[in-house]
Amino acid sequence: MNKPKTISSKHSFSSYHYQNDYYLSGPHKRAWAHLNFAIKQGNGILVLSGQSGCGKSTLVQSFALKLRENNQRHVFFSSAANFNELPDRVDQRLVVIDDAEFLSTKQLEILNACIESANEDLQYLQFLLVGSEKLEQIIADIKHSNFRNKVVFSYQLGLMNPAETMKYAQLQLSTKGWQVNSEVAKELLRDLYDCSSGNAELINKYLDQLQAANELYNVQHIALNRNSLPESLNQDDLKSNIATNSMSDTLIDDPNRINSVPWFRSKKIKVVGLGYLASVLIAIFVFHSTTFFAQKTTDNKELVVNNQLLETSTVLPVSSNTSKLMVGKDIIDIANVDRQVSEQSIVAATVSVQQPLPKPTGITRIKNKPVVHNNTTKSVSNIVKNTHNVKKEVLEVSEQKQDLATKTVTNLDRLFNAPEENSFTVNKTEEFDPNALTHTQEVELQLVTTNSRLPTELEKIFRQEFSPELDKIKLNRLVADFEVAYEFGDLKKIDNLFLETIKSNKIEGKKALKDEYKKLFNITQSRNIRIYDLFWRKEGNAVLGKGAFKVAIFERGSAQKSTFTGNIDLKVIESNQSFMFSELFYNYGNL
Amino acid sequence: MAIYNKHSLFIKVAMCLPLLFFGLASQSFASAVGLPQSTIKYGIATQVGYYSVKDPEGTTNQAFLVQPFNFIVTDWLPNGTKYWVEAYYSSLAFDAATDSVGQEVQHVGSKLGLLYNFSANRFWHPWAGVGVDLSYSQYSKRHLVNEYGFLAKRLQDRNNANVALLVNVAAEWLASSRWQSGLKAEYRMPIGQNLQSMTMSVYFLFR
Repeated sequence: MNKPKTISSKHSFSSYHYQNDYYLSGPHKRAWAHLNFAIKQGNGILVLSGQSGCGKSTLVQSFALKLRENNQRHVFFSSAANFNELPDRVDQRLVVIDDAEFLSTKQLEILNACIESANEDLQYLQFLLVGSEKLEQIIADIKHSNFRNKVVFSYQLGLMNPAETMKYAQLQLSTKGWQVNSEVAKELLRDLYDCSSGNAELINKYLDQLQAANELYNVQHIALNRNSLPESLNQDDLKSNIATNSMSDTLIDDPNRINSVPWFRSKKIKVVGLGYLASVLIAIFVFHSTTFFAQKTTDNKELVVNNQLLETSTVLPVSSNTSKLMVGKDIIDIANVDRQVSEQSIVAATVSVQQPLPKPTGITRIKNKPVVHNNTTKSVSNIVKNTHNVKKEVLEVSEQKQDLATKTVTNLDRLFNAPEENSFTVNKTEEFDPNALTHTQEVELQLVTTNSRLPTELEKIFRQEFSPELDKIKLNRLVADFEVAYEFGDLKKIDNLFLETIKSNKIEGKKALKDEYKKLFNITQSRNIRIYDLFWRKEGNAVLGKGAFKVAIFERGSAQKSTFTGNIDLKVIESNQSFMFSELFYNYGNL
Repeated sequence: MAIYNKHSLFIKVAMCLPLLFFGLASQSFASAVGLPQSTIKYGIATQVGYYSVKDPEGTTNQAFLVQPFNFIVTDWLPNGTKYWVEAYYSSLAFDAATDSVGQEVQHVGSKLGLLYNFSANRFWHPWAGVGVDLSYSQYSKRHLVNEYGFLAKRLQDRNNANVALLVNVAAEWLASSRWQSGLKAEYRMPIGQNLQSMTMSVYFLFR
């Protein structure tokens, strides 16, 4: 049980809710063991606290799943917001209350009364309160000493240490199919600890950002291109801090790590795996070599500076932090070069500089240059156009048009160090015509010529800025409400979660879908659904969620359960200050 | 198999219509998560039991019969109930006696039933149901014998459309999410002069 396992996240690193197999770090293992012990103590209140994002909820949900699977307890999930009464009067109950630090005095009294009532009825009833670090203090401050006596277990969940952080990140990456096979990539993963402090949610967030920015296709590239990392990751001094860290290389060949991945248990698989890795490395090498030589022949690998033709093999970046190039023996500032070089020469220069320049400068000094029409440029144009679409959408629904436009400019400035006089300001939605934005076209040109990785950077920043922070708590609560309503066959609650125009697999409209759920509740004597691995993203004024689900139903007339798993797509819209489902599509993965 | 020659179209329609009707009627499920793509179940049953005929000339002896293939369609109705449609064909022969008419019976029909689920406990969820049996029977070679076993009287063949009431109890087990097995005991009480039976059947349902 305590054996570390890989994470079965399918869609996102940030996996809300519940995971069947999930990584147990040291603190998690200890918490699990304590919970196991506490659960056998009969009635009482269990308290699990810890910093936000340390994995309390995931731990509890996994733990609850085990209890359910082993038929040890009937587990009910609730939260401080909706805990008013006990869900059912069955024996062997464990009621998990998340965000328990928000429990009101009245709710705590209910909780106390429930325990006393269960004691009188000789029933097993336990409450597991899960909450932030404040929770312990709140319980300690409760005047009713009778309540405190009922707390049979209290545990504060800690954060992962550097070794566990790296192991966790590696497992996360490997479950997504990414290979962490270079030293620089491993070093990057070590950096994660410094910016996340071992907080699982933060690690997931960073990995998500990297994934969203399409950076993960080449982990080595991430390490090289530090500027494409999230801001908190971009610290040069991290490297030295990590180098002194004792965990360092032992992690890479940690036998536990290998044992924890079942595929690597057999020697045969190891050999095949190493062979595969070697072939991938060779393929990457061959690919890069051919690309390099192909471009060398097509673009002639020439750089024209002051009408002089230079061999690009002599062009080297002076350092990774400046915009200067060493051409032969001369050091040339790119800003100066830009005024004189031709379109072709810029392309050639880009090819020749294998290490991308971290911060492109002098963006606005190349006005009236034609856009380079190569593949990279086209992709950049698309990104920029798409970005405009996003902006348009945002502007159409928002009254603060001016603010948003200014924000855009600020970001562009931050990215390109563009002087203020060249910033553009958009006052009206109609002015968002991509063709009219000459400044942006210049930006495209410079993006291509200086750093081929920057389009992704641009996309990432736009994603962050134009996707307002998702209220994940509300979204997850919506999903949790759905799960609870599903479990209890509460049609009224289901009714409140769906928009009138909800679309589902084969039908449209709340009434029709409600009828379907009515049928489901009719034919099943009990049922349970867990929606997990949810990845939320904003699209216009809606939020789309992609994830997986697992359903267990006990059909009437039979004592055996049927289990279904599959993928689920949700669309959530805010209506009357609360989120509601407007689309709920799913498909079965296996039947 | 004269019954097939005379009434083959009727038999085919009688057997296929319920399957077709209920098969088409249940295709719209599955928008709710967890609700199977189709809740309608098709199945096959093997039935064994004792039969007798309430003949105009007197009740016949009992005959034991194995019916290997009964075809079943079942689906859910509100409030934990389900309908049950079963199509069957059987051929029986009853021995004659001095006071019991010997005859051969060709019997085809459909059972329409309504079953209600009881949750006895966590592991036992039996069904109890009532229904009607609509059938068509041909009673041929009807005769009586004397005390020595020789033919005493030959009686005219008769054909009947029959109605009977059904009472049954059943228990089911889920073999997989799609397969289910069950055991059913059923009493068929004839209305009029036709077959009565007490049967047990083992059935397998597929979703």
